[in-house]
Amino acid sequence: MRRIAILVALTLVFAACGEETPDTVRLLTHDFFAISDELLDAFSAETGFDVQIVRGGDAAIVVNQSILTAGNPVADVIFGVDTTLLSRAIGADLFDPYRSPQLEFVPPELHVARDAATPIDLGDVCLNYDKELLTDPPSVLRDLTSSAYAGLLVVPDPTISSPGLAFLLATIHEFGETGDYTWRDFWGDLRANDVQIVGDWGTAYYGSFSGAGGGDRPIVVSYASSPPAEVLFADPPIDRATTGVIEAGCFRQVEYAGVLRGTENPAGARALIDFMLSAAFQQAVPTSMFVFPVRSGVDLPEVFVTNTRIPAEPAVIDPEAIDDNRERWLAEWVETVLR
Amino acid sequence: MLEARGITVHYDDLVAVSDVDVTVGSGETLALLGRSGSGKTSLLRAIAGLVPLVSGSVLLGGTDLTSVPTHERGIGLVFQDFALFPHLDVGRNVSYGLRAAGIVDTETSVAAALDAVGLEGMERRSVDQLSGGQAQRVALARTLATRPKALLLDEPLGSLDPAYRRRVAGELSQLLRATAIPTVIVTHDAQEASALGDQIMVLDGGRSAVSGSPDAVWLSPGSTEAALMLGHTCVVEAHSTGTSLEVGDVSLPVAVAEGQATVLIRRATIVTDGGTPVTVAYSHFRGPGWVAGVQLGSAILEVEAPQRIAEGEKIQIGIDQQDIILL
Amino acid sequence: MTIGSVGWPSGSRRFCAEMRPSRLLTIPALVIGLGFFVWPMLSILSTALGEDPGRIISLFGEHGLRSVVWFTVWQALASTAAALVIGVPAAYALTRFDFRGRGALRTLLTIPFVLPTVVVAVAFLALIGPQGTLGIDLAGTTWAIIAAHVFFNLAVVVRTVGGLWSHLDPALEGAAATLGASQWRIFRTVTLPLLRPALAAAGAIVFLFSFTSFGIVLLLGAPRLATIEVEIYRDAALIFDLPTAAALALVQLVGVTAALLVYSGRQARSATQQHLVAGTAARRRPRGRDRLWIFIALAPALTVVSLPLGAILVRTLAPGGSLGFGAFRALAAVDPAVVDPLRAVGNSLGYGIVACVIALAVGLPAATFIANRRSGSSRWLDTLIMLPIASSAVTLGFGFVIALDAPVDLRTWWLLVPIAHALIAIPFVVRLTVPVVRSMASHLREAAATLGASPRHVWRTIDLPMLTPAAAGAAALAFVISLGEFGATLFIARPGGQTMTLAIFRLLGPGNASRSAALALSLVLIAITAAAVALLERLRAPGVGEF
Repeated sequence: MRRIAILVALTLVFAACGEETPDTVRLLTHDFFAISDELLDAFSAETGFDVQIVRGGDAAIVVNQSILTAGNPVADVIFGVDTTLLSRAIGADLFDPYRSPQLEFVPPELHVARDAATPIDLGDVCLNYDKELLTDPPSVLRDLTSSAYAGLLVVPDPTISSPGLAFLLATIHEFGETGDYTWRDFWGDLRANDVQIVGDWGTAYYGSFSGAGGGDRPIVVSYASSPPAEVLFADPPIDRATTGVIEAGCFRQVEYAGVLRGTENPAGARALIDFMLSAAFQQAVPTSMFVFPVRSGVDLPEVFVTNTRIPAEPAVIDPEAIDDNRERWLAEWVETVLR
Repeated sequence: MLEARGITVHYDDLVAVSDVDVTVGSGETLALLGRSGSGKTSLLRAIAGLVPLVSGSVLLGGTDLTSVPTHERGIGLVFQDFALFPHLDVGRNVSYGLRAAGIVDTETSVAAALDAVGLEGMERRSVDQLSGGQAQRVALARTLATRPKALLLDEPLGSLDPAYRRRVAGELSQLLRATAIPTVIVTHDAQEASALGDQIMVLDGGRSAVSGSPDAVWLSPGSTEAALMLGHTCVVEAHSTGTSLEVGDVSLPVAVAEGQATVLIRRATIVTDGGTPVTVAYSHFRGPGWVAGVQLGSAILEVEAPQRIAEGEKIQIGIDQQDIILL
Repeated sequence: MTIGSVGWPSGSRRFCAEMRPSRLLTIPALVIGLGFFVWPMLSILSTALGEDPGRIISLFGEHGLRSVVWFTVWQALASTAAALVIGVPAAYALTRFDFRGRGALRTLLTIPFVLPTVVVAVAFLALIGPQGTLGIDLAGTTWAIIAAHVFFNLAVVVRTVGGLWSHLDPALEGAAATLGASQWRIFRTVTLPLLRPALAAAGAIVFLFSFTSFGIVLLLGAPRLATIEVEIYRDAALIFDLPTAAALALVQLVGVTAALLVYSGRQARSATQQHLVAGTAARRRPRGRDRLWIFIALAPALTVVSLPLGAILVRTLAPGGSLGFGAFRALAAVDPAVVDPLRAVGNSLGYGIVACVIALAVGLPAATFIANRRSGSSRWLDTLIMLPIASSAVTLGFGFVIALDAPVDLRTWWLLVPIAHALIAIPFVVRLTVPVVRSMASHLREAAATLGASPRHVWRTIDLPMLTPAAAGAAALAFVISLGEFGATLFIARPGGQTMTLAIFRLLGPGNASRSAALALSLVLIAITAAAVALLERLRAPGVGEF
């Protein structure tokens, strides 16, 4: 009798873990993915597929966990693979290549070789500062090592956080690996200047940054689009953002989506990728995720136009170079800053 | 001289020792006799200062030790089961007290102490390799090495084989006499108490039931409990008619005061005539001669017999008036 | 809690030939042990040595890794020393004196040991984290880590040392006193040396737990401080440097195994024959200044234990000072795609039950085999079963992920999670039941046989009833271990299979709202764990295991 009770309990508990119905598309993504229910409903109505969103933490963790089980995925589509992670994911054979018909509306320089993954949005990782606490923001990265900025900067851990890694890459781009003053010298000076390292972007931005949360650090690694987000979410409403973007040390990140190799629902996965490139979805990208759409000819909302702009010269590092050196850079960064 | 006056010990709500006085002169040995739970070990521990007194005082050579902590009293205690330190070898066990007293060079003293108990050269031996008798002697040597001003021994022979015990008791008695300090020894064996003690005190329920020299207390134990502890077997309820004592269905021709009484019959002999007829319950050999047991009321009276007597046989016994004691 | 001591068995009961249990009993243990432990560990070995075997040597030339190993060792030593310094006086007070509230205090000191490490970290974050109750932010410092390790491990010291202490013959200390030794001298020359086996055992266990500490260091030490265990996770899951992770896992495996062997060797040698007495005989009511000493002895331990527990309660039930259930409201408001609390509770309970079933199915037959045989095969099996303790949870999870993709890809199989939990629980199940099987003296079986009982009947009427309480206790323990498991689960859980510990970890990420949700979920986990432990205490076989 008791044995039966246990069996029933087990069945109940794991019923939910059983076979997914084929008319569901599982989208594995990071915690900051956001889209309105109306858009998702429209997708369901149009294609007959329901979207089930599975969140796995920060983008880097989501991608790494997926790579550890590549070929035997827990979802059908992954979204949030960014520039810093793309070549690692492609190298691990994470994706089933797919060329969406919608891709023709995306500038060709954003396309991925052999269409392994599909670009969805882009944004710049930039230092943000709190305009109320800091009237004189640094103009170049090197300024951050001066005593005037001691104890002011908070950075998400680049080994865990994707914007953290982007900022690290920006510094590597800026200072280089050789010469009198390398990126490691810069980070050594930052450490001496009491830089705060926290786990992920959310902790840095909402936890330690004075401009958005309860923190006391007026400079944070975030996105160029963070100030308009502050305006949109302000309560009571405000006209202009109280935080600003520092243009030095920005890093351009493109976010990609891909069909996970081994998916049980390839048709649904492809439909979802098409949908993410559609005009309706792309139109919603700025105000729901605070990044820029990749699709040409999409109008930006007013709040974006007044509170941010796309930095003129963001750092760009070849994805191949990132892939070749990422582990070494991270290991060296850990040794320079954490140990 | 070791004196303990009005010793009272409580364990939580349990009265372990109640108002007991003890006086032991130098070179004298007092044997505390009692069944387990009678308070004899507690009394010993109280004298050593290991349990707090509710009331009473302990004096040694006229000095009041009542508020002196155990380790400064100078009273040696040999524990039941000896309490040898398992992590130290024989030599270090014996030198323990000397080191505690700040003596660094202990080698000769230890050798002498072991010599005195017949264990010369055993310093390096591990204590769990010792036989019971050896352990007992190590414990004694350990205590004597500190030159205590009084010595307490808790069931020193308790864990030895019965056959071995009597011989060790003799040796111990000699040793104690040589130390010439007041000694208190706890035992539950009446023969051992007589062999070792100049004085015997029988404890019952935490109180002193009787005390005195071994022969005196044997002759008049004063209470049922003391009588039984001292090795008497025949303690019975009897009814006296004034001219005879009715014990069960036996009528003894003894004149005691009329009424109901508990009596101790110390001794009886088989007589050929003029005795009291009784029935033999059993008979067996107990060195050097035979004994026969006869049922007397609820108790058994043992008499010396010339040879084995068949069970159920009628014999006559004679009892001396002075061997019947009213308790 | 009855975990038995962690060490190798040393029983020596000979059984007549027909009582020998079948080798079939070893099959479940061999399948699980070889398939889900030895095979993953071999994969780690090949990953570590794979491309360039010299790499392992060169790794230690790297300053960063050297400092990780150094930090791992010294924080473990410091934690062990602190746990002993605080725990031994508490053990003294609790075992030598009988006073009102003694039982309750003993239970209170035991609670932290059964708490999941993630919850321990949450409690310390609530106490000495950012905006903590004490008002000082020690998160990210070694102090926080050591304090949490002491909190977690005090029970080990109090139970192990107290267990032996309460059985020490008080006559030994009395004898020392009559020989003229002062109280301090008695403690130094008699009590302490006699306690050495328990001190060594407790110290070794605390060192091992602190050495392989993961959840506490990951959450309280981030981002600067890392044990080898945390570094393995960082390398494998974040930096994606699998060879380095594998090499570190290997280093940890070798180090911990060596420590365990040294420890068990010492245990075997230092088995001093002691005259032990029943526990209550040595305990007395306090009198006079005793009360002051009891207070002084217990105060540090009670402070270390009650402050974090208090902080978690205060912060959960009354966030911001006003009495209410704000934390639970925050938990209810969490995006279910990030954390679905009900599902996490359901998953944890389900995994717990399955892990429990697997652990018993493997552990009980193995325990029977080990207890009844003294052959080499029984020692081999025993070693195989004990090995997961040496490997650590993160290594296990890492091994699963890199090993189990061929011939059948099992990496996202839901059963992997309870299997990993069971592997961690099986050593405890075996340790708990082997003494009971051994204590079922063969003369009872022989008596039953002479009374006409068949072997089957003997098993049913003698063995089974005697084994049931220990088996039930072991089951509850396996369940508790599964509930609190974090390191292995972090690697192998699928997104839909999030457990409560993983959910708490996720909630500790961004923003303060979810931090209070993490507190609420921690409280739920504590409640479930407490219920399981209460069951364990009720089922525990009397006299089995001091600890």
